[in-house]
Amino acid sequence: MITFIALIVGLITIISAIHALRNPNMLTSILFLGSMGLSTSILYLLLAAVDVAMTEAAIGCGLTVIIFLFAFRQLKKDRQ
Amino acid sequence: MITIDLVAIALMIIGLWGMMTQKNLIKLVIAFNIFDTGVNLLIVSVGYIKDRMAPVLDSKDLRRQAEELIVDPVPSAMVLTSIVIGVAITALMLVFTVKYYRRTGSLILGEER
Amino acid sequence: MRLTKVFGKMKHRVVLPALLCLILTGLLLWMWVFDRRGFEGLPEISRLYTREAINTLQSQNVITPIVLSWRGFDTYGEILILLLATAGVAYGIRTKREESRSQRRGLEATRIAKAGISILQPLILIFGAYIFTHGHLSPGGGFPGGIVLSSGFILWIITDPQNRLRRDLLHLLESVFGTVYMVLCLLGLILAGSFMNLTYLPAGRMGELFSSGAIPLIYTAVGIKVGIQLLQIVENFRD
Repeated sequence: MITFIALIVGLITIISAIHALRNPNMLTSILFLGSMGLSTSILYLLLAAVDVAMTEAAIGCGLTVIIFLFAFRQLKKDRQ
Repeated sequence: MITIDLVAIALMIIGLWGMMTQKNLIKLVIAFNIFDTGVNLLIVSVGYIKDRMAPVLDSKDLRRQAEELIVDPVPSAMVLTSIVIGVAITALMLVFTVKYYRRTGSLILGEER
Repeated sequence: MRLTKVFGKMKHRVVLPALLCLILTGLLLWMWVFDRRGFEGLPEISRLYTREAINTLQSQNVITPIVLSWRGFDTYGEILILLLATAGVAYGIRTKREESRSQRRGLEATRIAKAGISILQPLILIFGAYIFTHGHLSPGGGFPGGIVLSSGFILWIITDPQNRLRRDLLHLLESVFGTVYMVLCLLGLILAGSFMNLTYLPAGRMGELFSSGAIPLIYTAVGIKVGIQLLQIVENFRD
């Protein structure tokens, strides 16, 4: 059962990683990076590393995306 | 767990592939992030032992025979610091990206003005 | 050709070595994964750490004393790296036109979002404080606690572009809690015989809040310091 869940969540992780690199729209690819972080935290939970899962859920899905979005807005502001 | 090992290897290969092929600087930072996640996942997956519990000793049985019942705590402790370092490095790389854009007016490598 | 489609507009001279490099990396990792099958049980060092965590420190979460005491230099180096990254971000993002900082443009959030966040923010701050004060009892600890703490303020930042944090207060708090962390580590050298030895406070009984030596105090200092540093990174990116 755990292997089955790991398979599905791992597929989601890999697909969102590929989309984060291949998507032509930058905003979408940043959001795909966030979805990769969230599904990775579920994988950590399946590996019984609860502390790492909490840290990854807060950082990979929250803080990294926010920093990327702020940097992206900074680039847009500089274009004008 | 063998499935998660393979997922981690796939993430590392995707990240390496992105670092080699992408020319957009933000995409390069994203590829670095994916590679970082893959490495962390592989390190945690090394410490997993089948049918064992998380290293939080919240019952009497668990405390008595902790060494036989919990997974390896050392890789988790290593990765806990490594994730936070990863986000700091990402922020630093994005600052360099912004500076590069201000100086050259382009985000694509090889198209500087 | 398909290869050029996958690899973008790269020359064939570049594509083939890149592909070879990827396949070699994958094969090596694959072989390593199948090579390490057959290990049963914990390694000797993890057994030692588990025994020590139960017997001398009475810590319910085994990971916490490893992060703070036996592998404490990792945490120390990580905090130094975070400090350097904060300084690098603050130096690198600076623009020549200082007047753009005074009048920030940007969308203001709706009234519903503002009201929701004024209710949510205290709860998020309490949750962050709970995570890092209970780091030795439950999963969590200083790093996730600090991030949750900073995310409460980040929510407040993104609802209104006019909201600004007092940077002097942030600098002061960061240096105070960094000093507290170093002093708590040095007390181990003075009172217990070695640097980052946290047994100088009584170990107590396993499962109580005031147990496992100085771990709750030191994790509070680490949590607040990490949270403030990440908040400074985001705040510097904003303008």
